[in-house]
Amino acid sequence: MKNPVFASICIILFASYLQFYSFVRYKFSGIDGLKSEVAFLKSDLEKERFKGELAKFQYDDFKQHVATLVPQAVKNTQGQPQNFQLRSLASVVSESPKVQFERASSLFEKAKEAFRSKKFEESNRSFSQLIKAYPESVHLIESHFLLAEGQFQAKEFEACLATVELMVAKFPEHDLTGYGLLRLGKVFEKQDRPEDAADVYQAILRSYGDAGLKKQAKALLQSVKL
Amino acid sequence: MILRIFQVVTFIFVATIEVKVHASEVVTLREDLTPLQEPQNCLEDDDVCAIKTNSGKKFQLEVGKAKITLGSSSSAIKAGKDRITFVHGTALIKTESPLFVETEFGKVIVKQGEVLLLKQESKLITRVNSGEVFIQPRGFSEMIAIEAGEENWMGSVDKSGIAQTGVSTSINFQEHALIWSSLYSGKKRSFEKELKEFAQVWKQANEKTAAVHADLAQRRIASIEADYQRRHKELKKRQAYEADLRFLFRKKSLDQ
Repeated sequence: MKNPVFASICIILFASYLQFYSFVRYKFSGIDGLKSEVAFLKSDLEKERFKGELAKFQYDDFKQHVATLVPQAVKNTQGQPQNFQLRSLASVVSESPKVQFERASSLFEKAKEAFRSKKFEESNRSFSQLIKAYPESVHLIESHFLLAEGQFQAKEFEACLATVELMVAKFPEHDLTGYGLLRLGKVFEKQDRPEDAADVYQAILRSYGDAGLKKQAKALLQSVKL
Repeated sequence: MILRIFQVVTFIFVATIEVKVHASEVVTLREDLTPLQEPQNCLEDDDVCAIKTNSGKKFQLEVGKAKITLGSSSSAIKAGKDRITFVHGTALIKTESPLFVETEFGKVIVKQGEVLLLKQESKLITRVNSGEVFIQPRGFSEMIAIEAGEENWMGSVDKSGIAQTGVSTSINFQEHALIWSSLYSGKKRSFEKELKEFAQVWKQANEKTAAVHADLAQRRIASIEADYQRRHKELKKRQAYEADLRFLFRKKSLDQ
């Protein structure tokens, strides 16, 4: 009878010792301090995230407000040079916001400079990079167009076809897509496919209102027919 | 034998606890005692104050006579005594005096009653439990009424300069009840009672929206039928023309 009592006391003492040991070890290991530091940093992060969310909301709100004004502004500036920029803005206005205008603008200028200096490989690389990294940039349509143009100049006809096809899918109503289609016609001509080229020119004449574009399409259609 | 009975009882006890825990996780949200505030501790002041609830928690905000319960990870800005800006998440609004809820897609005007707002990335869904509620999508000059038991949505502004919106439809009852119960602040029994009352309203709304949609479907069918008739007429005309042409061709061939 005495032995079990002694054994129980021993077990209780041993368990208490283990508990005390683990408590002391935890208390002096610094884990407690680190945990509170992590909790503090987490709450700081949450606060920053919340601030970011509010800033994003304000930006969204502003964007939607601008979107309500754009159609009237486009109508009021019909035939004026700023109309093109407004239509470009209108065509990207319904997409979600992750725009980084500054960086996209500098990359766009760099790519444009390379294009002007006829360094088409470099400009094509930069435009492709811009399209991939900034899908909501206001320079998106122009980048697609200049990429197609650069690919045509660099004799990368298949890539040029793909870019114009993408423009038709993404911005079917934009005049620059019409100009891209002119390039598509030219590619068909170079590939010895005059019927396809004529079809493209006719489609441009049917679908776009820009006088300069129509004039060019008409001239090219006549030259193909000849 | 006793051991066997003990094992069975223990098993049933543990299983019941687990089921209860799972159910409570789905249905209720705990009160958030420390919601994020921007500027800090702004809730105590009457100024503009942005609030965000922590994940898995809800928070009740009082604006004038309106009680706004924000759901898990939801945020709103208290913008005045009768207006808030709803930023993200879910919110249950109960008010006796008019409350204006602003979002980037447009306004929700709750004259009085109870409404559930669900904000998703590209749209805001307004579900009306009771009362007089209107939405005014951005660019719209008029307000659109939403009846109790119905829902409608507002989306981003399109190229015409007007925010997208839809036709009022009846609420998905089961999904709505789950979200509503998670934000409900009262007792379980009073929620059951309110849900039963809402079920009656929802039935009527269902019948009404069904009639509206049946009307829309009839109109669509009529327009498709009219289009079919027009095409059929054109086809007949072309066939007649081609038959005439064939006749002419045969006649000319035979004459030769």
